[in-house]
This record gives sequence, C-alpha cells and structure tokens, in this order.
Amino acid sequence: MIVGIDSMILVYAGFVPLKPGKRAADFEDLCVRSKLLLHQIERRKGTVLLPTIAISELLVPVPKAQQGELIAALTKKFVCPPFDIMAAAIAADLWSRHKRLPQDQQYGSRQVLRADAMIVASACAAGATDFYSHDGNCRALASLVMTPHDLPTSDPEDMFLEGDIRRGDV
Amino acid sequence: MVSKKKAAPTFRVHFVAPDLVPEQIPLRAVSDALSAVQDLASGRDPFEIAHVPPEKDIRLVDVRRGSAVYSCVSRAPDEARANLAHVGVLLSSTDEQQMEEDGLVAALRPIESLSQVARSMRCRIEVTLAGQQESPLFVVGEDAFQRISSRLLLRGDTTVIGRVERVGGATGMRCLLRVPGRHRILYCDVESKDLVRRLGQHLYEQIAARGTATWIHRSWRIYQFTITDFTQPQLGDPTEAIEELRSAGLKAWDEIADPEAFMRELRS
Repeated sequence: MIVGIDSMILVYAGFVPLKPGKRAADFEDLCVRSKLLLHQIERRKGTVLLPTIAISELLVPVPKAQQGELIAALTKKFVCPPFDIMAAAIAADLWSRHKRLPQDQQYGSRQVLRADAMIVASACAAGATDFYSHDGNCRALASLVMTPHDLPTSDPEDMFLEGDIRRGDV
Repeated sequence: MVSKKKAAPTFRVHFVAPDLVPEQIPLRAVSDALSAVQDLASGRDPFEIAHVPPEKDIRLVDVRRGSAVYSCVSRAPDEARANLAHVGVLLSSTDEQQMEEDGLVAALRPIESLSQVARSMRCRIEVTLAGQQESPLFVVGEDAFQRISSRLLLRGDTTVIGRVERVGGATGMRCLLRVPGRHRILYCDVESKDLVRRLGQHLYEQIAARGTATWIHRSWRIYQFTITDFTQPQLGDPTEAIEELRSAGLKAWDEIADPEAFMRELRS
C-alpha cells in the first residue's frame, strides 16, 4: 500500500488552535480524521508519500532556524519524492485532462490547479496508487491517475479508536 | 510418426564483415545474436514474457564450415516472417508515432543485444528470408540501438519504491527490486560496493530507492535504473510521530488563525 497525502493532512493532524470557536471545532474534527488516517495507514504497514512540493508549503510559517529540523523529521517518516521528469509529464497530462472534469470539480484558479497537479503528479510518479485529501477539487484531479480518498470519518477495524483520539488517549 | 525430412529454413541471420570467418565468432556472440533474433521472430515482449514459448522457438539448420550464415527454422514460420518484417519497418521508420509503438518497445532489448554483438564483432547483422535473393528484412549495425534509443528513451533522477529481492552479482553490482504494479522484477545497477553492502542488510524489506532511471517514452516503463541511495522512512506510532513533527517545527501552524485560507493564499 503506497499512498500520497497532501500537506493539509499533516497540518490538521498536528494543529492545536490557540483560540476556541467555530473554526477551532471544525479543525478538531479534521484533526481527529487525519489522525484516524495515519493510524489506519500505520496498521496496514503502508508507505506514505509526501511530495517535496507539499513540504515547501508546510515550511512557510516555520521559523527559518527550525526548517531543517522539520525537514529531517519529515524525511524520517515519509518518502518525499521530488518533482522529476516523469512527474512533469504526468502534471502536463493532468492539466490537459482537468478540463474534461465536471464543471463543479474544476479548479477556479490556475495557480491552485498547478500546485495541486504538481503534488499529485509527484506522488503518482513515485508509485502511489491512492491519494488522500480533504479538498474535493484535489481528489477529482487525483482521480485522473490514482484512487482518491477523503479523510476517514471512522475506523472499520477499531470502533474505539475515534473516541480514544478525541479523548487524547492515543 | 516423426518426419525425418529436413526442415526448410525460414530465414537467415548473416554476420557480415570483410574476411569474417566462423572461427572468429565466439559462441557467446552467436548465441546472443540468435537469441535476440528469436525474440524478434516470436514477438516476445521481454518485459512481459520470461522465455520464448516452445511452440515459437527457432533452431539452426544447414550449419556448415565456411559460412557465417546461420539458417534458422521457426516452428511458427508465418508469424516469424511477419514479426521480422515488422522489425524492418520499425527500424527504417522515421515517423514519430511508429517509433513509439509497442512493437519497437518489445524489440528494444533484442536490438540492443544485436548492436552489442555487431560492435564486438565489428560487423553488421542482416536477417533475410530464406530462399530469397532480395534485400535483408533488416540490418542491425553497431549504432542501431543508439539511434533508436536516443529518440525512444528518456533519462532522469527519480524515486522507485520496491522490495529488495536480491543484491550482489559476480560480474556487476546489481539489486533486484519487486516494484508494486510492475509485472517483472526490476534489475537495477548499484552505484557502489558500499551501497550494495547496505542494501544487503535490507533483504525482503521495502525501500525508497533514489537513482537515475531510463524510461521508455510515453509508457514510462523503466528500462534501466541505477540506485545511488535509498531510505526507509517509517511513520511509526502516529501519536509519537505527530508530537515529534510538532516539536520539530510543525506547531508553528498553531499561530495561523485559518490554515485552509492560509494554504489557499499560498497556492494562488
């Protein structure tokens, strides 16, 4: 099982909102779902691909002095494929095939399409067969070359896991 | 009842060079060349089929002293003639679309072998239909593979994820990787002895190999891969992994009031 993930999954999984409120509640839910995903992948001994382009996004708010430490930690836990020439060809294919997606699944912004296409293509070129993202447009794009998935809402193999995560027991 | 009548040759393989006599040709060169022509005649795709099926094999007939002409008989003669004629069309084609078709991809390794034999023997290898005085179906010189590969193959650095099946080798440093989604095992070259030793410590484990790949254009099938390094990232316990990432700097995202809006802004 080789899966690609987008950068937001790690942001959700590690996010602790400083202020309570509606958005904080939304993010708590996404945090739980992202952690469910990571637990499921680890249980299946899956390999997770986090493309280097996604790493660059994760680094933006991180102080420069700490960026090296975060990169080292990420590369210990994830395969981090760069945007190579095979990925370039896949990205070009994604850009052209994107126009054939239903209107409501197409990107409104070319720049966002370009960034997501490069991330999806990098994961695909390195051998990912599945791609996880909470973003519907990104999943539609990934569906052109891989099997897309949203974040899980429960764990079919461990009915207690979601509760354990919410209580902070795991 | 088995017929004792000698089979008529289907086609001939010529090693052509001034003053070339059979004694100069090592058995290995003859074997490599004939194996490659057999692959071409049977239409075998080396990526998909390990060996030429018995019902399509070729055998030598009329072998005699004073000749560097090897007459072969095919057990599927019509198919062999058609496949070899097709190789001739592919080799002489300059049209882009024909250059990329599956037939040429399947023929690539045999043509590489024939080119190597031609280079080592300083000759060209011609395949002609038996019993005909016409021009050869195709001719492979020492530069034939180079000429095709420069248009059909792409080279670049990449990552390949696979399970280490074997490491080592008597003649070269090799590593066999089982790559998910690929029918045949991937024979990789390894850059250094030190790397071979490191890979040997990870037999039957999955690795993320970094290296230089040669791909077949369009299909993106890996034709050759040289491993220059590898890693074995492991997520481990997710709770500990997230805590480790937060400590390493990921907690900087806590300061962002709306991470989704921030990411959208980054990407636009």
